Amino acid sequence: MTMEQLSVLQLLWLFAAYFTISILLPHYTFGKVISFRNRYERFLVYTTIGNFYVINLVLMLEICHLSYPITLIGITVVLSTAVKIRLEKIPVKARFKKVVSTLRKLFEGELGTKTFVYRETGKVLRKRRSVFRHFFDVYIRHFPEVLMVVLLFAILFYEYGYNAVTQFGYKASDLIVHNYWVNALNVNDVFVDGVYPFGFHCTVYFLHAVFGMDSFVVLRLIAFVQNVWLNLTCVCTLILVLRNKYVAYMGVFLYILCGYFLFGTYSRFYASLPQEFGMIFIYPCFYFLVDYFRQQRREAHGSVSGKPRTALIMFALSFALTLEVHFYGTMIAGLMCMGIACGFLFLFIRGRYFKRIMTTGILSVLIAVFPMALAFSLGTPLQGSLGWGLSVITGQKAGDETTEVVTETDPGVSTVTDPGGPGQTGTTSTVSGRTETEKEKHEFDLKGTLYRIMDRFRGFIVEVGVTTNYNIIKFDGENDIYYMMAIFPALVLLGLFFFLPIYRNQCYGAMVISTGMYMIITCFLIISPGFWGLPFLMDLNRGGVYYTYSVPLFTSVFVDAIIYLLMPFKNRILPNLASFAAIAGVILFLYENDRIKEPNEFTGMEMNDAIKCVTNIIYTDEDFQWTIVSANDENQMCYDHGFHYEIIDFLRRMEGNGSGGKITIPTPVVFFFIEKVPIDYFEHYDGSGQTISEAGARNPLPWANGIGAYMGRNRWIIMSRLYEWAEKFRALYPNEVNIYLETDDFICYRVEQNPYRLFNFAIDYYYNLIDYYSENQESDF
Amino acid sequence: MISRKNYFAIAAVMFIVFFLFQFSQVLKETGNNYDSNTYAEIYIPDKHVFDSKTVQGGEALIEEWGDNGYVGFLGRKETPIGSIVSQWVTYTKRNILYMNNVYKLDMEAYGKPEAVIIDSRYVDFDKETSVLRSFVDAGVSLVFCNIPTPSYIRSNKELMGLLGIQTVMKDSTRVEGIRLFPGFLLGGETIYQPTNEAEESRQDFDLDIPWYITLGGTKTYMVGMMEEELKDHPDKNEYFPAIIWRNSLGPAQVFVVNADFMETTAGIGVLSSMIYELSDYQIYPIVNAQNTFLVGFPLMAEENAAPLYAKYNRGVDAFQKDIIWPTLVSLMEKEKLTFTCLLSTKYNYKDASQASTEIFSDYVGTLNARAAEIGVSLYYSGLPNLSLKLKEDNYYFSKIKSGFYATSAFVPLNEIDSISEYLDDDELNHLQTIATDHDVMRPILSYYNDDITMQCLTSDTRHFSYKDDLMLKSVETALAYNNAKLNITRILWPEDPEDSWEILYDDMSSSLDTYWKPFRTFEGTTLTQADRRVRTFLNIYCTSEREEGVIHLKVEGSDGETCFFMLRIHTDKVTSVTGGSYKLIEDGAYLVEVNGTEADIFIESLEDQAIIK
Repeated sequence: MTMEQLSVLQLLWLFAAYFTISILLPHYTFGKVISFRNRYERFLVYTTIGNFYVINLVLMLEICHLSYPITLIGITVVLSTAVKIRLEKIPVKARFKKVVSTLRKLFEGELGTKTFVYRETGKVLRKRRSVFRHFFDVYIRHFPEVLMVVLLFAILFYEYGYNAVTQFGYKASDLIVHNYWVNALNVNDVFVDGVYPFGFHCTVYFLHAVFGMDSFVVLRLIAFVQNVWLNLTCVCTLILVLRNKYVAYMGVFLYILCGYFLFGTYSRFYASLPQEFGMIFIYPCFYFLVDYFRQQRREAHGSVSGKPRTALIMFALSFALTLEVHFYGTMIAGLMCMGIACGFLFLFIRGRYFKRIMTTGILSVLIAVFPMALAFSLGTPLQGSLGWGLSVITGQKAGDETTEVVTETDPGVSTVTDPGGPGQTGTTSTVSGRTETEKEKHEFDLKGTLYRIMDRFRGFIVEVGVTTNYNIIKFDGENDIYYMMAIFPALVLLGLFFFLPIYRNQCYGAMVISTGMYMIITCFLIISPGFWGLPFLMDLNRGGVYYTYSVPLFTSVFVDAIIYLLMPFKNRILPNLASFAAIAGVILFLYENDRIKEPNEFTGMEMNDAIKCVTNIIYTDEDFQWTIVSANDENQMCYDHGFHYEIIDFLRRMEGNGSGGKITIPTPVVFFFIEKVPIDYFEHYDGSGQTISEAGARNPLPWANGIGAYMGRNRWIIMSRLYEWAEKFRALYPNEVNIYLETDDFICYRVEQNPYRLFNFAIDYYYNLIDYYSENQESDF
Repeated sequence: MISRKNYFAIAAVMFIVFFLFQFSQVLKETGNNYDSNTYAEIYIPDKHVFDSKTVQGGEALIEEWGDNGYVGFLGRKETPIGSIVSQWVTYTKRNILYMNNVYKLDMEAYGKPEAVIIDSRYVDFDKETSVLRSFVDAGVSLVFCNIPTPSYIRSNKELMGLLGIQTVMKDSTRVEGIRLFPGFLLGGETIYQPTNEAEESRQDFDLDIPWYITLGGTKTYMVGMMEEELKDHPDKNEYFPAIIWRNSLGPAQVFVVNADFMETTAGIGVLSSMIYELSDYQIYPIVNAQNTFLVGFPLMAEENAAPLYAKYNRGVDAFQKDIIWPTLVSLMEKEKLTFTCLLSTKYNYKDASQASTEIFSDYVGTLNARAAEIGVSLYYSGLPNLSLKLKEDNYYFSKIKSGFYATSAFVPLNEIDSISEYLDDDELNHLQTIATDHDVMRPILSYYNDDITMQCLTSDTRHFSYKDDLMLKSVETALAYNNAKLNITRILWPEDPEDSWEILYDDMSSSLDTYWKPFRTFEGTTLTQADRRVRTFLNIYCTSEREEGVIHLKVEGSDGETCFFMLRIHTDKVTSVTGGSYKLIEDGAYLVEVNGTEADIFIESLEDQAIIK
């Protein structure tokens, strides 16, 4: 079996596992209770409930130090069944009596075995037949939509899935840390590295513990699964809020295929990161809040369904989920809520609504924050990245990890520096403004004031346009970005039309306005907050991710509103045709302009061969009888099966000592992973792509700490050193050191030793005994 | 009343039942020739005469067998170490250069040897350490069968570096036991440390050994155990005194034995394993025979009747038939062995009893039925010399007037030279093989003369000591051969209180079940069956060549006989064999059976063993 084939099978298993916790489990428990809701709504409800349950179950058991596969499975089965019995009012006693009576009859011979089997299998078959019939009915009736969903999956696999099953390494450096946190859950340590939103880790841990997948396999592949879910929640939300459901697909196809988006806005989707996992719950937040207003309005008009309360609960859960998974997602959900508050202002300001919504919001925040606050109050410090996130907001370190540096020399003149995406060089543009003079300040002139206000807004629009154009969406024409931005106020205006008596769809209009307002607020608070002296909520890299994530929302709502405006018919044929035309138009537009996004060959932070070796080792070697000596990535991958030793520690311990030192690794088998052509680990350098060599080994060992030792040129040096060591050691132990896997770029050595008489790995391999800091050695280099 | 129909039906059933029970017995009786030795019909290959060449140059002597490389031996052939080295090169068909000093190794003339085996008593280390070092630098591996005293080693730093000794901790230390690590000799890891009183009697190693700590770059195969003394030491395993180790010095390896094993038969397997450690694989001919022979069973005379009757309530004949043989049969079936029963017409000629001719055919029939071989035992007492014993025996066999003749015999070591005079006697003129006691100066397997082979004892099931186990492992590693003796005469004529059947049987069954267990892949044989394999083994000469994933094996001198080889290979695995078959003995060791003159052994490398490609 090839690694690609294995990855496909693992991906399918992971997909099935996530489907089970996100759909099947909630469906089993709540299926009958919410069967009156349509499938899109059910999808959102199930996804929210399923994930909320899993995350909080893991959290509670972790806090109680009771989190094990058996408890997770046991409690899930018992709890879901108990809730189902309660909700569906299943007469358990009566059913139990019936079963006992049937069994008694069977054992006493009153009921024949054949009859019993026939009766029981008949029940199952009839049920199965009805399920199949229902399935086919639904899918034949909704063929165009089935086609859209299939197309959506195909596009997603083309753009992201193929990469997931052909590039095996982690696609982000911090995944090692996430892997470490997930592994810590195995020993019931939920905040091992400080207080941090735990949702993603709890979900990965649950999938690992209950479905038997190694945590590193889940982390390798869940990127694609969460990407699929993210797009499905987006589609479902849009279908639920729009009048023409096919328009929703237009927005999502545009989002996935649009080649105008800069690489940084979607590169994170190749990696399994909490931020992107948290994005699954942002669109449901939008829907449930809009739905709350809608249902509440309906209830106000006399219909009593209890739906507003459900919508509000679901909003609370999904909002809490964004916070449990990643703070940034909460910020965007918060901005959406602000947008909705503006759109539904006419309802929101009413005391009844206001109180409920605010209470719900506060409760949802408390649900998510309580465990973290508790841990923090008990002395667990905040995790480092939280501190970093806060520093971005307070502006202390905004430039550290952002690609954009905004230097305000004057309120009206700012310089935007774009480091550019891959293959692009950085550009600098200057936005002209006007400097206020002391004189103008003291003399009140209405015309002048209006002019200045207009000028200030014009400056802001230009600022947003330029920032967006250079950091998020790169249009061909200079002014194209402004056409797109014009949609935001246009949505506000369009929304107002639906308040007119001809449409009488105030909730729809409010939703359209909400969308427009959300985008405008985003421009203020995410894209260019500096223009108004506001703090940065997040760096522009992440802001860009969320901005593009909003593209399907505002484009679909805009197109849908236009169609609705022009064709407010009950008959759906023409609007549907218009929707399909919009889909075709978007795809043709991208195709004609050669802007269909090419799937990226996003290589991992680790070579494919290394992952192949790790997988083979896990499958073939006995657990905890081996150690991998490699750079940092395998550190946490081995957690459930073996041990890891970092190259830099290994080399440093024999530096200057030669065979006089002592390095023993107490497992019968030791593997050494060496990159013959070291990857560029987060850092390009002059010699990027060069092969390890004696020249590389001839350098002093890098003294950088952490991953710094494996970045850029340092990686080349330590890989060269380890290779020289390995070859020398192999000469000493020709039969004990074997090549486990060798390709042009990678080599893995396998050393077999007697655990009762360990090899001393410290040897003199020449380069570790050079006096690098003596003046006489200069000529050596 | 019974109807006719039923009567016939019942009669038919009874007849069928009667037939079913009896016909197998009838067939067996018909097929069993009570008067003859069924193993006498085994085909015996002719002795192959090698075109060997002896080159004598000064004190150096080269024995050439063929194209295989040669090893140098620095020492004397007449010493126990010399005898072991000589046997080993004979069995592995290597050429050998005997030297009495290091300067005799002329690499320009003879080429580079595979290794130089050194008896340190013949090296002047003060002057010759640097010469030995130059051999290593030239890529010649060294095997030190013994080393100088610790005090001398401490004083010679160059020698310490050569031997891979970092520190001489103590000139002599008492170890608690000895640990043999897996992968060196066949049979896996073994700890020779008594854990109970019964085990204490097995411990016969010299436990006072010099304590050396080895350098980095060494690999240790055997250590002395000092759990108590080093219990608080964090790296105690690495500080245990090394007994057998290897020092890697870049171009070549230096093997060191810090004990007297190389002066015993255990040295043969140790040498085979060392040479295997020097290469990525080794394939060498083996015998694949596991003999167990019973000396003095059955005894044809009612000797020592009174004491036996007192102890077992039976005379000799009844004791043998009712007690010894049934238990042996169950053991034979359990251990999948075939016994060779070396009958004794009479053991103690001072005893008045006469050898009975009446019971002879009973015994032959019983033993034949169980496929046991019947040979003769020339172990005796009460007569001044062997000729008288043979005369008595000849008289006995002449009285029987059967077609029986023995093809195997047990000859005590003290009679082994004199027996040659009597090989034309009636009793012995059909002999094909002789089994005798162990003597380090005699080869385990050899031709006694052109027609008869000699198989020396390799283990005694009685009082199986730790040294015996090491020897067993060693001989199994080098030859896949075992020749075990069970002396029944000692039961019939006990010399001490432990000479009783229940103790002997207990010893034997526990030894077979424990120490022999790792070698069950090898075939159980009788002496004559083994003789055929021994002849083939001594006759053949093989060469091998590895090409990618295939080892091509060429065999000469087999004369169409099936030959057996031991393949030892590091990490790689055998997947199939064309021209023969294979069996896994243990990790990295395979028994390869070759039916013709060529075989291809297909190997799966570590990379190919990966599940995920």
